[in-house]
Amino acid sequence: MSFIDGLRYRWRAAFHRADLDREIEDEMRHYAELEFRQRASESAGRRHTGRPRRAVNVTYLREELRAMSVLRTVLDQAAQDLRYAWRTLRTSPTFAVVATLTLALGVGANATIFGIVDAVVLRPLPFPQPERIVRLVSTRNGVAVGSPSEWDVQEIARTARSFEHVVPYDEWPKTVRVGGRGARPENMLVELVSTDYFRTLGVTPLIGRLFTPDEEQPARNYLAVISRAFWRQRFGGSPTVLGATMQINDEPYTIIGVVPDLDVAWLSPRGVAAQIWTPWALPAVAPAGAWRGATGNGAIARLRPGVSLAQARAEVARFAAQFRRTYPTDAPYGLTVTPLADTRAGPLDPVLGILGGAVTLVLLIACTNLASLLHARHGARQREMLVRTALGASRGRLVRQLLIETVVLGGGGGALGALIAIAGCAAVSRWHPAKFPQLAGLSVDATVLGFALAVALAAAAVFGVWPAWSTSRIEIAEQLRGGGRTGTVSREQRRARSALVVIQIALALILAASTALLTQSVRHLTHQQLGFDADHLFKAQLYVPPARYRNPAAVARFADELGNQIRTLPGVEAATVTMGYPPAAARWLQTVSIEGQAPARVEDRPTAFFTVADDYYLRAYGTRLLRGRDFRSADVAGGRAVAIVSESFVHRNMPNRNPLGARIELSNPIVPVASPTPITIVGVFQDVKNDGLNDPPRPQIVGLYRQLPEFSAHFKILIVRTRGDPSALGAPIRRIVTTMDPDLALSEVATMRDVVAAAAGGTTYAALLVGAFAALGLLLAAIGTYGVVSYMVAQRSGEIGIRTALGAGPAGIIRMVMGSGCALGAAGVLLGLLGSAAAARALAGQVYGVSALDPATLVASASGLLLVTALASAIPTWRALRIDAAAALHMD
Amino acid sequence: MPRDKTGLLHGSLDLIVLRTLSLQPMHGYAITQHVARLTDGVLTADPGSLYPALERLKRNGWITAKWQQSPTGRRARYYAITRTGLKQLGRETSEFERFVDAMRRVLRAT
Repeated sequence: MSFIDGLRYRWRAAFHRADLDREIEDEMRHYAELEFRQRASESAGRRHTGRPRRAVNVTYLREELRAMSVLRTVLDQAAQDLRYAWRTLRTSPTFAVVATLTLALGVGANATIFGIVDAVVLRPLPFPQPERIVRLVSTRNGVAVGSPSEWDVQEIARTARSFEHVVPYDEWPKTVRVGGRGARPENMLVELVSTDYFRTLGVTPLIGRLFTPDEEQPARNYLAVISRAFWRQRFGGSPTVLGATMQINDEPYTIIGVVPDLDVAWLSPRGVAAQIWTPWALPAVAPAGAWRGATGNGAIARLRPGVSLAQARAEVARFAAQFRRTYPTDAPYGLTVTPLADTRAGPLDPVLGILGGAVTLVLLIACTNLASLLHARHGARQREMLVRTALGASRGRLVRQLLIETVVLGGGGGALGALIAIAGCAAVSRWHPAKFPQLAGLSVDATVLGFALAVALAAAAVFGVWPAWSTSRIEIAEQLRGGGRTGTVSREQRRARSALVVIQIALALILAASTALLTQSVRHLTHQQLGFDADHLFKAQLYVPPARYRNPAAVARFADELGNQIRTLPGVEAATVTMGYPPAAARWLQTVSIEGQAPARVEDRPTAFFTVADDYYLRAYGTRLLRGRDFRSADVAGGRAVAIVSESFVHRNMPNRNPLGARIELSNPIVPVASPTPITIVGVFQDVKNDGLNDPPRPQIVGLYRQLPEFSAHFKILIVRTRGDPSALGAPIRRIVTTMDPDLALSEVATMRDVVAAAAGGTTYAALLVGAFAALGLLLAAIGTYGVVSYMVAQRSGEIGIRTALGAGPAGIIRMVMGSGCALGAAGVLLGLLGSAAAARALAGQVYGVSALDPATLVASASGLLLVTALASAIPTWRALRIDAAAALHMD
Repeated sequence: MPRDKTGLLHGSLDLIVLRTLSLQPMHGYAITQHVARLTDGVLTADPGSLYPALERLKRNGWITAKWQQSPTGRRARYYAITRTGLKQLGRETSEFERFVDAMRRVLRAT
């Protein structure tokens, strides 16, 4: 018999015992049958041979053969233990169900969050040699502030030695039309990429080819690579797609390749997974005066084999130093590289930290609950233990039995927890803020399931050992003194259980207080002073294609006409066509020179957010004018260019000066001009939240697009104020746009309230999930309190019976039972307040508009917890009041 | 002299089974019949010791077991000697012969 055969035999012997037994029996039956025939023929022939035959003892033989397997013996013993554990657990189903559920909830919550962490942090990127892909990051005073400009990236790509490829990319929402005229136009994000973009990621086309360097030249770049999903959806997955054309902003692009669905929305500055890529046609030399500082573009690179991150960092730092010397707009910036995988979590990172902390607390509560349950159960089984010890069972054997029970619970809890994690991850993948596209493809894999099981077993083992050990320390003498009454528990053990409940209440309080803080932050974020009225405000965006609107004047004519037509709609109070929309961060930062105070160095010049609009900007937003005047129709194109600025612009840049009438100049126009247009400040308006909800307002300048054609892009935002429901405006405005130009598509249609809610999405999500975990924690803590108090009532029922018999009124009994519950609650709350103070530090980055140690919040959460413990003690109290004195005294 | 419950000299059952199976593959009952016939019923291998012995030999890789159709048309487990089994048979045979030889000398000595 070979080694493998041996293994096979052992395997069969161990796990296919029924088969083996059947074989043995078959063989024995065969033997007996033949022997019987033999004897029959012998007695017929009257021949007699030798001694009488023994009958075959099949059972004995079977045991004999079976015992020949050593592994069998060990497994048999384990199986016996497991069977015993299963039987004992089945005799107390309530305990088994509560313990398993407790563990499953704790483990399920943890595995769900671990699933998120696994997907956005731990799992390698879906590209070949992902560790070599890095992101180029601009820094200012050591803080990441975006990506370097395409010009700087181009220069690095030409001479850097650390990288195989270095590519800039950018993205724009564009109007995409597949099919002839009249086909439905759609506003989609188009990724403009440099030739090596896909090679940097290591992506190869499914069919067709990728871009070549000469296709990066302007006018040769009318080519597109599309995603597999887009190919299937719009071209039915047909190979004839290669060579087909589609209209992007009314210009024909030829499709040359299809790439797999990349699922990397987090790579895009807007958080949308691109479906269309076109070459980024960049002139080889940057135009004079081009902005070279940090941008909102993207830039990625692939390290050469053998080049370390530190080497690459050193090289880009040298480039940064050189850029600082050469280009004025690069002066304040540094450069570094970050592994691409590290940027995957992005804004989700701090939220994950909070969620991780919260689920750890939930797991701790679940574990203490489990320990407390096991403790109570083992305590109740002391008589059984006593008998078994007396019969000679070793302490190790008893502990092993208790542990195996715990392992059975752990396995059950882990399996159920894994199911909860599957459901949890599916839910997170379905419902999450648009801000976190990383969560869209969330799925549970073997790692996550293994994690669930490992955590459950570890928790069961760790929290099962101590109760098993402490209850197995039975002093026989003490037991005899206690008269061997059922469930007599030492004071030490009672204390241990109370301590566990106190810890649970403390942990639950930390969760409750964190939820309260986050909820208040959400409220603050969404209802803070925005500088405008977010109600009754409609927002949409559209792109006016340069193919048919060749110059800024044509775009301005279209935009003005659109604004006029929208203003005639019933219910519309004001409408403006602009290019940025607070509270969204505009990302359009301008360097400003103020007449009479321009500093010598470019990096010392002030910067401000900038946008161009029509006359109705302030009216549509409902933002107050503080000084001077608003735009008016007399500010005509070609006339004296005017601007209005925010109060913080004045405060920051010209605090001791009358801003009205001051002249400013802006650098970096979209369209190059011979000399910058001087702009006169005519008005000052109240500060508006223009850099997201969390950061204070930044200085803002608003000009008129009709007066500043060099700053007017083809990309426009509509902001409409209505008396009624802003979401009802979508259809009529779409009709106006289609009547004016059937090939234009309105996109990103939303109400301003939705925009604000989405901007607070991260904090809202954290508040929601932490809230769910807090509810879970409260439930578990309530179960724990209930368990301990009811146990005390059961323990002291004799005493309560005597008291009742001696004439104690219900008030005394209520005081006794409720008092013990509330004492636990009070101790837990005190401990929890200390814990909350520690947790507040961790939350500080996500809490807005309320102190992390807000006394009102803490007091409210603490009172809530006390109420929960009081409620949890109420049922046992009621039970204590119904104790029949006579029955209680006769119990033992 | 150590005699086990089979009434055989210790270790000789293995030798008997291996020798028997070296003639041809057989099922358990055939082995007992063969041994009884050859020794006129002096030596018997009853099932209580035969089957554990077969199991032991199988475990050592000296014989293999296989379910087959017997001539009477019933499914029976046939045991066959393996190559290593044959080698073992050779070793045990010479050992046994040496033992018998030694015993004979002891008994003849005067």
